[in-house]
Amino acid sequence: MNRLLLLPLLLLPALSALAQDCSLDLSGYITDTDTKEKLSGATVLIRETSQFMIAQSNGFYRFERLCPGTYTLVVAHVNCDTLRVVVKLDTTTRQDLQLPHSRKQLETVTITGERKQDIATNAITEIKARQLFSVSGQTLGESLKSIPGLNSIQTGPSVSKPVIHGLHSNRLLILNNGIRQEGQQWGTEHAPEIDPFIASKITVIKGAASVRYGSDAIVGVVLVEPKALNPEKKLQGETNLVAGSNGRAGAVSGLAEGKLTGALNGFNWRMQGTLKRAGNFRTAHYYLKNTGLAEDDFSLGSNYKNKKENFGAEVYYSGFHNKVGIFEGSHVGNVADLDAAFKRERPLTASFFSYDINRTYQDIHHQLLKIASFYKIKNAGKIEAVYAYQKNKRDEYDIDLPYSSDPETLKLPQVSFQIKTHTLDLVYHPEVKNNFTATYGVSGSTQGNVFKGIRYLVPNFRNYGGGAFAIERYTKKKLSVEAGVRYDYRWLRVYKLNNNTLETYYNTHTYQNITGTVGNTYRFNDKFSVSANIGSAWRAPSVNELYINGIHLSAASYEKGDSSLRSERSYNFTLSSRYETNRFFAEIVLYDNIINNFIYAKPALQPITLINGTFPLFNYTQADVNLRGLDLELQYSPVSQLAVNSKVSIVRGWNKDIKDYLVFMPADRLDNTLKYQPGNWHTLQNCYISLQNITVLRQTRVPPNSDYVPPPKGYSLFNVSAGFEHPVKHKIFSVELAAYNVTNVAYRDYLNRFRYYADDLGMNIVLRTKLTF
Amino acid sequence: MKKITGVLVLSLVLVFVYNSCKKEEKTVSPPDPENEFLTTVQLIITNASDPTDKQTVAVKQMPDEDIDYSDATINLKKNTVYDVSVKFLDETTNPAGDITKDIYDRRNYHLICFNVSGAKLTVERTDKDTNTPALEIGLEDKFTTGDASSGSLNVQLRHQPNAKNGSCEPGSSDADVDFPVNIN
Repeated sequence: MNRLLLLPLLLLPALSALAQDCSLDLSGYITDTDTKEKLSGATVLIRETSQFMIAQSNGFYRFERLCPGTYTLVVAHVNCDTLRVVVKLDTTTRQDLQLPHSRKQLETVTITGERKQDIATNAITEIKARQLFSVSGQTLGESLKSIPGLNSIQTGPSVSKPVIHGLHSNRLLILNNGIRQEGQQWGTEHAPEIDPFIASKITVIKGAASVRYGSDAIVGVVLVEPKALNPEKKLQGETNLVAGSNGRAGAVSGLAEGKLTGALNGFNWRMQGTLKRAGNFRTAHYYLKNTGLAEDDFSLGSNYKNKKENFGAEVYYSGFHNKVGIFEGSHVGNVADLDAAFKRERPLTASFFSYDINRTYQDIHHQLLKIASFYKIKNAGKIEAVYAYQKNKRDEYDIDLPYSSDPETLKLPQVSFQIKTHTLDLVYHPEVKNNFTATYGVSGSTQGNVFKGIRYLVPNFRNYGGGAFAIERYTKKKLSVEAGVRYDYRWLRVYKLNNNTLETYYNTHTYQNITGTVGNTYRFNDKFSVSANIGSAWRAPSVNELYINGIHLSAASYEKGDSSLRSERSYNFTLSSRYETNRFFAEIVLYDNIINNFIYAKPALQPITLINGTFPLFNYTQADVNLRGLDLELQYSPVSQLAVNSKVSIVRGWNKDIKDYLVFMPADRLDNTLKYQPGNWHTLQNCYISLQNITVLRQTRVPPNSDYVPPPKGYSLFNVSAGFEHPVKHKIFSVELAAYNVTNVAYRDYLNRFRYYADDLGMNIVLRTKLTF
Repeated sequence: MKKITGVLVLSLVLVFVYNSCKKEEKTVSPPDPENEFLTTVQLIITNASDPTDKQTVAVKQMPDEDIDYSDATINLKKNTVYDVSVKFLDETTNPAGDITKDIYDRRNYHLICFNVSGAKLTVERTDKDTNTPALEIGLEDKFTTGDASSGSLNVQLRHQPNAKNGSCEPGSSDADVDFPVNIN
């Protein structure tokens, strides 16, 4: 498979140069769209020739001795979104450029090839460019924590899952290059199998979004999006190098892409790969034994667009593999062990550095194949078809070897899951007419899960799903209104083995749901807008909630599923407002997510006694709950070089049936940053230095008898970072040096499941570099 | 071009749909026959001065069943010394599998821990592993009783890979059961 795809990439035609009259000039002034201010220090790059320059203090730029032709100018400034302008040059040309200042205003961002969201009235946040660079090397879960309302649920330093408005796993959908990520999402220690380096942009939709994306989008969607494959040159790309002191971690990632010419005109290609390595991480006072990781990922893509650009096709393949050590101090057999572990000031395990990964560890492979094509019908819109195949394999090796004298059995993982998913989506976007835009779609999927293991965890299953949706939006002047509806059907057959007769039997479940969304946005003026959205979402019970029956080792609990559980349904109300001027930015998101038949593991009054000890018993059950909260971001720049940014995230989860709080809700979080951006210094561009404080309060709203220890006390961390960009021979070299937890505070986070056993990470100094060519 | 791509896409889809129809999930793999389940903790207690005074007690739990203490009560004579062997069995098979051997093979990673409450009983481990220095295992023990009393004896099989240091603290419990004790 891999080799087949590589073949066209190797057949790159030789570069050819045409002799022409190359004496043309291209010059102009770069100004800020909003303030009309001349932008000094803006950078301009001609993609085709790699010529690069920095605008003078009056915003003037000039390229000399250019050949006639079509050029793409990439214009960037620290305060603005990057702008791409295509210029056809046949004579010396004056081209003034206006950069949209409003880095947050989605409406003004119009980068070629970028898709707008089909549901636009939810609260949407993007991480890209500079912000994305500043989190490079981190896990996906950690990368998103800068967005108000987002957290991550962790299992030690290298396993992290995103949390939106208090919920995660099966209640949050992750789209990897447009495809629903399908693995064993139900486990809190099952991190998304995605290499964040593939993304040029990560979009987070906060709110119920089932209408567009189907089941599971209860609290939101995370879209990990690679840059549109639309290269201007025959060869271009970027390399990233990240080194971190904590865990002596390193990551290397490279991307190369280009367009083919001649007979293969219209074809583009891309290759991308990442290697990561880390050893034992360190808390403020000791190392965490066996917390290393090794990861190797790659992706290959190719697309084709015909000359009229009314037909195109794309093939994309990615492979993800990692091996993650699980902290040895988290190794507990029963509640007595767990009790002993959290009474200790520090873990019993030896504190030393090593890159070795021993049992307990996870070994995970994820492959994705995507084949997509579109066809534009004259005056009638665009049809898209996307087929995807995913294969996810997860092997978990416990430190406890099975009792066996057979060497082959000793080598086996204790649990092993393999899930294969096929999805097919057809989407139709009719031509925009009379201010109406619309999206109609149907989708189908099938999934087969095979479980093998020494201890029973979940059964095998097959499911089929189908859905159809329609979304309409009306936009006129200051108002836009949208509405959507969707129907989903899901068939699930679970295969189990009767342990006495060794015969396989099955149970079949079906679920169907109708979901809807309505929303509007009103723009009072170009500074102030308000959006409101009411959306619904659903989720079928996952197979663990239906059928798990056994010990959850890392949590020392015994969980029992319930095969009669019904679908979970949510009704989410979001009100968001944004105010933005030159010096001031404010965004507030208020939400109330009402979830009926919310599935959770309810602590039983009696513990269960087994031959290996006593375990608290949790039964899966359903209740009506709601999650309310507030995300707030404020930014003020007294002078253009200085910015103060404050973010607040608050969520309250309430179980209406038992009239008590929901367990494991993120504690209130405050994130304050002071950033000084002197602009240019000698040959260095876009210099900045920033000081960040993250304060997390103690979670005091917890139900009784649902956790072993009270939530840890609050903490306050300081992070410092500084960076710049440096043009080197028509290439852009970006550098950032960051120090996290500079005061080396020993702390524990409520959402880190390893808080029972050890502190969270101590100081970490990270150097990030990126070369764009 | 369009047609070719269309045909290509269609055939690829068909290939994968065909593959997906193999339905691997319908074959539920039976439990690994080489893997043994720890179902039973057994104590074989022999009076050191009277080998005919011998008793076998056990705490047992079969899959999907409640824990069984019906043969668990230890009856001992006061002021007497006993030799005790601890056995771990897999009674899901017939004859029962002996896990004790696997534990003995990995004795440098295992420790049997005893906790007496109420009864006047002291327990000493009499066997050693091959760590340097050699550490106790606890598969073979000496029980010494005092005056008449009753209480319970907690027996734990501690799994301590790369962490065994002679104390019960490191590692995790693979077995953790209570035997009622009567000393007359």
